Amino acid sequence: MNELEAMWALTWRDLVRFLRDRSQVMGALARPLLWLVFMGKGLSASVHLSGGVGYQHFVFAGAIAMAVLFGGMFQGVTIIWDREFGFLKEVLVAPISRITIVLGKTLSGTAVTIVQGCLTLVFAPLVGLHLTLGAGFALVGVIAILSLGMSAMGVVLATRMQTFEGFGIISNFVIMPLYFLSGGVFPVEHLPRWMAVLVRVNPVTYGVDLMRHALAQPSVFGVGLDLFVLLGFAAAMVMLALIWFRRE
Amino acid sequence: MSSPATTTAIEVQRLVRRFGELTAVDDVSFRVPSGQIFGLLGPNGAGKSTTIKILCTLLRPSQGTAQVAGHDVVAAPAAVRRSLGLIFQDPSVDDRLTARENLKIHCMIYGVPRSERRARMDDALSWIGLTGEADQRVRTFSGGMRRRLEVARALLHRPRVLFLDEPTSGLDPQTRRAMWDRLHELRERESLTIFLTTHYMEEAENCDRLAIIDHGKLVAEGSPGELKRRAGEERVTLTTADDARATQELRTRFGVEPQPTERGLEFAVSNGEEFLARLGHFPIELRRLSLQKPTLEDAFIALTGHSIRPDEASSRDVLRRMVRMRRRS
Repeated sequence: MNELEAMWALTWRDLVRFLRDRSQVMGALARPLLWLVFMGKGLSASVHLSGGVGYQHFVFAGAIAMAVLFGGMFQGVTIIWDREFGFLKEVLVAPISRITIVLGKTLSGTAVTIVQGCLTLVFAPLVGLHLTLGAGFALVGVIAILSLGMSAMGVVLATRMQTFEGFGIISNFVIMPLYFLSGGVFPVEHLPRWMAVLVRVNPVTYGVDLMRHALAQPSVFGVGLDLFVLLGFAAAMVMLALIWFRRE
Repeated sequence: MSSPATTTAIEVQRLVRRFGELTAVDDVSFRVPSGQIFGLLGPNGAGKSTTIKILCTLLRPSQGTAQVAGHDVVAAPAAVRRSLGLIFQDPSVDDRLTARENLKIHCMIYGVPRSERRARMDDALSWIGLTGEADQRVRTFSGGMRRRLEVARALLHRPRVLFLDEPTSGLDPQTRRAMWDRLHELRERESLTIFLTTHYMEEAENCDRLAIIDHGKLVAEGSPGELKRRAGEERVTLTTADDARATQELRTRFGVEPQPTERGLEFAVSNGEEFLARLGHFPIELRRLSLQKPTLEDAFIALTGHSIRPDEASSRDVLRRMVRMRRRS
C-alpha cells in the first residue's frame, strides 16, 4: 500500500517538474517539429521511397522514436540529478524498499516520456497525416512500451554514472546510434550486411516497425515479432535496473 | 512505554567503517540518552558524515553495532528509518515544487496516515512561519526558508530521533540562531532526541553533550563545559592600587597563587563567575579585572593538537555550489 503510494509520489513529482519546466516542454515540442519540417520536407524533395510513402510520412515514426529515445533516457538519467541535489537521499532513507524506488523512478520516467512521445502526434496533421482513432491508440501503446524500456535503460546507465556530464557521451554513443539504426530515418531493407545486422539487434527497430504497422505503412517484420522484442527489451531493462540499483 | 529504547536513543559500540585502505570511522562508541541534543564535533573528513550515514542506514558498518531508537541499523533498517528524521548537509528540497508539495511527497513516501496529512502539513507550515508561502515554489525561497522547510519536513512523520548533518553550514548568523531556537523548542515540546554533526564551535555550544571526533577516532566526550574545563583553567587577571598587599590578601582569603605579569596579577580559579562574585568585598581598590575562560576551540586544540579549520572545498563541492547558484538565478 505504502509502497504503491510512494511509487506514485515519485511519478507525480517528475510529471509536475516536467510540465513546469517550460524549456523541457518546448524542447519536447520543437525536436520532432524540426525533424518533421526540415528533415522531412528537405529530404522528401530528393528521396523517393518504394511503397509509395512520402518521406515526411515515412519519417513520422522516426520522429516519435526520437522523442521517446531522448525523453526516456534523459528522464532515467535525472536520477543523477536527484542524487547530486539530495532528493535521492531523502528517498533512500525513507521506509520504502529499493525496488519501489527503482520502479517509481522508472515509471515516472515512462510517464513523462509518454507525454513527450504523444506531443509528437499533435504534428501529424501538419505533415498531412490523418490518424484514425485506432491508429492513435496503437501508437500510444507502442510509445508506452518503448518509453518504459528507454527510461529503464536511463536508470541502468545512471547507476553507472557519477556526474551529469556523462549525458553527452550517452547522447552520442547510445541515443544517436539507436536512433540512426532503427529504420526511423531510412528504410532498412537494402543496407550493407554489417549495418543490417546492427539494425536487427537494435530493439528500437522493432518499435519503429510496430509504429509503421499502426500507420498502415510498409513494414519489415510481423506484429508478433515486433511486440515480442519490444516487450522483452522493456522487461530486460527493468530487471537490469532493479539488479544494478540495489548495489547503490 | 518504558522500554530501554525510551531512555537510550542511540547506542554505538565499537563502530568501524573502512573505504578500501582508509578507515573513516575507527572504533567509535557512544550513547545518546533520549531527549538530548548530542553533537559530533570535528573537522571535515573526520568521519562525521560517515557516522551519520551509518546511523541512518545509508551505509553499512564494517564492524561494530549501532542502534537507533532500540533498532539495529543492520538487522532492522526499516524500523530505524521509520523512527528517524534526517536533515542533510546539502539542501534537498525540490525547488520546482511548492513548499506544500514538498511536504506532501514526504507524507506519501513516509506513509503518514492520509487522514492526518492536511493537519500535520498546516501545523508544520505555520510553525516555521511559511503559511503564506505554502503554495509558492521553493525556487523563490531564501536559504533560511529552505532550511526551515527541511526541518518541518523531517518531522512530518513524527520521528523520535532527528539527525542533522552540518545543519547550519552556509546560513547567515541570524538564520542560524533562529534555527537553533526552533530546535531547542522542539526538544522541549516533543522530547525529541537531536543528533548533529558540526565543525562550528558556536553551534557545538548548543549541545547538551559533545563528542569530538578526529581522523575517525573519538578523542573526548562530555558537555561543552566539561570539555572546556579539560582544556585548561579559567584565569583571572587584575590590577589594584596596591599589588603587593593584594597578593597577600588573595593568598589568605581565596587560596590562589597570583603571579605578577605585565598585565597585572594573574592566577587560575576553578569557577570564574563564582570567584568574581566573592571578590565584591575585596578591601583593596581594583583598577582592572578580567576573566579568561577556555573556549571550545581551545578544548579542541588541546585534545587533538590542531585547530578545526575547515579544509578547502573540493572541486566537486565547488561544482555543486555553482550549479546550485545557476539554478537559483
